[in-house]
Amino acid sequence: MASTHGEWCTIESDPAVFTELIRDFGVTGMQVEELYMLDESLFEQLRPIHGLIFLFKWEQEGPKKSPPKLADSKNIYFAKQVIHNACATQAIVNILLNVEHNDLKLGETLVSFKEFSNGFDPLLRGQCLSNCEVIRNVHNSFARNELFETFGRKAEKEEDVFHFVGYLPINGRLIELDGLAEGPIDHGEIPAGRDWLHIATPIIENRMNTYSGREIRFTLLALITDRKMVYSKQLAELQAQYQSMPTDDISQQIAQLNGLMQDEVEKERLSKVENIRRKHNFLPLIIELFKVFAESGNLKLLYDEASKKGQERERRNKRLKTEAS
Amino acid sequence: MSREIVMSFSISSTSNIISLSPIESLWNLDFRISPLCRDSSPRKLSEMALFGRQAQQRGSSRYMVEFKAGRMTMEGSTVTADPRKGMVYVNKGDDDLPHFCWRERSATSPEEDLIIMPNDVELKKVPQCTTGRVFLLRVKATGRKLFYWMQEFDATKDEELFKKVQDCLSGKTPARSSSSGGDGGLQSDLQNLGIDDNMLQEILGGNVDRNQLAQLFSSSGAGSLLQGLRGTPQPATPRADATAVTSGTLTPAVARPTATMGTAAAGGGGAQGAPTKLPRPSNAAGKTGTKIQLSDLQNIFGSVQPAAQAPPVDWTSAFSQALLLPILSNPAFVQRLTPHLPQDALIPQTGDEVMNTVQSPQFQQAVQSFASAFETRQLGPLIQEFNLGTEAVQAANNGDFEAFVRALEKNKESQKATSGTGARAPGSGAGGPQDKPGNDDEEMSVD
Repeated sequence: MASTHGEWCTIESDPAVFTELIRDFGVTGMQVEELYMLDESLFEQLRPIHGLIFLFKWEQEGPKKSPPKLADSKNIYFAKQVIHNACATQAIVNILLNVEHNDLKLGETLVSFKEFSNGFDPLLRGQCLSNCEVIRNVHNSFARNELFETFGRKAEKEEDVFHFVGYLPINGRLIELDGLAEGPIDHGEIPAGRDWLHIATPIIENRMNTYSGREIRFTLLALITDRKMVYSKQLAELQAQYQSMPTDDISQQIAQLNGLMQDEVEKERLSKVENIRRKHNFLPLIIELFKVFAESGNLKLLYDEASKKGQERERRNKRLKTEAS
Repeated sequence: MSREIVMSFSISSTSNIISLSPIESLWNLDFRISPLCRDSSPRKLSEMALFGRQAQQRGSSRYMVEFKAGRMTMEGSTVTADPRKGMVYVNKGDDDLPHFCWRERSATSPEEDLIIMPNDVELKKVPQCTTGRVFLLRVKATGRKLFYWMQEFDATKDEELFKKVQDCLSGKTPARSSSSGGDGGLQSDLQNLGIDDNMLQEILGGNVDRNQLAQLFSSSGAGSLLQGLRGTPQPATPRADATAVTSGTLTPAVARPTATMGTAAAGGGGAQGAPTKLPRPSNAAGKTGTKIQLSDLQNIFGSVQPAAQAPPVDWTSAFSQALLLPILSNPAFVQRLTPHLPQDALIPQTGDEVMNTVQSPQFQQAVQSFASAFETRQLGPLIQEFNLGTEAVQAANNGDFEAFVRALEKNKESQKATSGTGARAPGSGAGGPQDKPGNDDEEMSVD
């Protein structure tokens, strides 16, 4: 539950969560989408892509390679991560404060945060971010409605630690923003005429491969321009064209765009519903369901189903355990 | 085994029917997957991403093998990608046969569930499709073909995954779990002792299935006892191992009266009678040449402390559509459930929405969280708040779901007795739950 004592909750690395998160920060013109392939056909549909957020299971001792090449941080906003659970917000804020694009409007909160902390070193910036109440409250509002946190959830003792890293082009170079690194990491110049995503793809793929064989899960999110904004811009252009020269082709394109727009509106609605559910306290509904099942005489059936599933789960867990050992 | 179960194929209510006609050459096929990445598919509920997924299904793979892939539909010679995010997994079903399944990633139950007989299928990449990574599951017996498109990032793993699937489906255990995987672990433990399933059934009175047994072993420390037995001198071969075991390893301390056994195996029921009617399965013992005495094994079981180990219950997937539908067809019930939905303009207060909500990953997470908390035996005070009766509170204090369920059923009965018909249901009682006393009485008489 949202806390007022400077604590940060973990939030889900879900595009719906991230999109609403940045909008609640006051950011407009942007949204977050999940990339489930590093593929040009997918990039094409989402352009412009302003930055990538790569999420992976963090391991204390990785193979120590040569230390990464740090970028000249003069023109890069980089805040070090000082609190673990804040890393999702940390990563997205680090990216947002470096994106220069007409579509992006940071909003008052982030603009004043940047102005305030710009003169600090990365560590102090990180501390500022951790202590920024507005940002923290928004972040914490996305915590799952965890009723039973104080009861020591036994199964989550060995909770995995996940880490977010940002990638984006800054001044013609591909930069990685990893809150646990000493500074922004420089992945070299983006050759003229080449898309930064094509430079970033092998780097991220490489990173995934270094974890191969250990069954590590990844999520890749992209910060993109608000699709509805993109579509309405395109619509306006097409409609202008259509007025000067009406053709079937143009009207077809308009219809198609309207369809996409509707899809986007529907998707947004579903995301909102999801987020509402995330924040809802379901305990009364759970109890009421039990009661209603009892009254209908079906509770026994429900219980039998639950034990059947429970035994299946037990078997799977057992198998997992023996695999792990 | 009969051929009939080779392909029991179920398709959910969606319209994705995959053509059954065999196709001679894959080169004739026209693969359409370019628009597949359309992320704006309105039907798609965004998949639970890592944190959620992690909390929801502990551990990465609860299946023998799993990976992200979408399904494809075939019409004529056109194979079209279904844009939804999905996953393919192989799961061992209750029938002990591998099931090849596909489900939408946000869903909990599979849309495709194929029972696979050993060596009846082959899985391979379709090189003819160049716009995506497509693979084909071909059922040899019927020539049936099912297509899927990979949604995993890493193309280099494809072959490895296919091989894993192939191994699972052909009855081989995948390499990584071959050490002592799952049931096999228990089974081989027991086999090492020269005990086969039949013997165990006899020991336990014939009513205990292997799951319950596995649970008994894993949950109550009997496993380590078994480990101790197995670890006795010269564990060279299973046979030798078993022969090396003498009853001497079972100290008197272990060999306690078997009275507690019934409780330990209570999940299986009927175990109480076992000690008395134990026949001496000389055939099995003789066959394996073991020296371990059945009474020794009994003693092991007897020494197992029940340890209040409630049978495992998984509520998250229990609230299935099939079980919810009859509930939600009753307006009186719907009326009682909707007030507990999130109150928001975007959430219609309808039975359909109750269904959507209960099937949502967010609700299932809440149920999971509730169940885990319940099992810690700390929810007594909370349950008290809900006026479910003292027995329900007691059950919560014991972390015992079975007792909780019994208490709720009893509670309903007593409420009915005191409040009379119609006093409680919002809609004047007609069509209310009290209309089927016959069912209820039947249920109660079981207790």
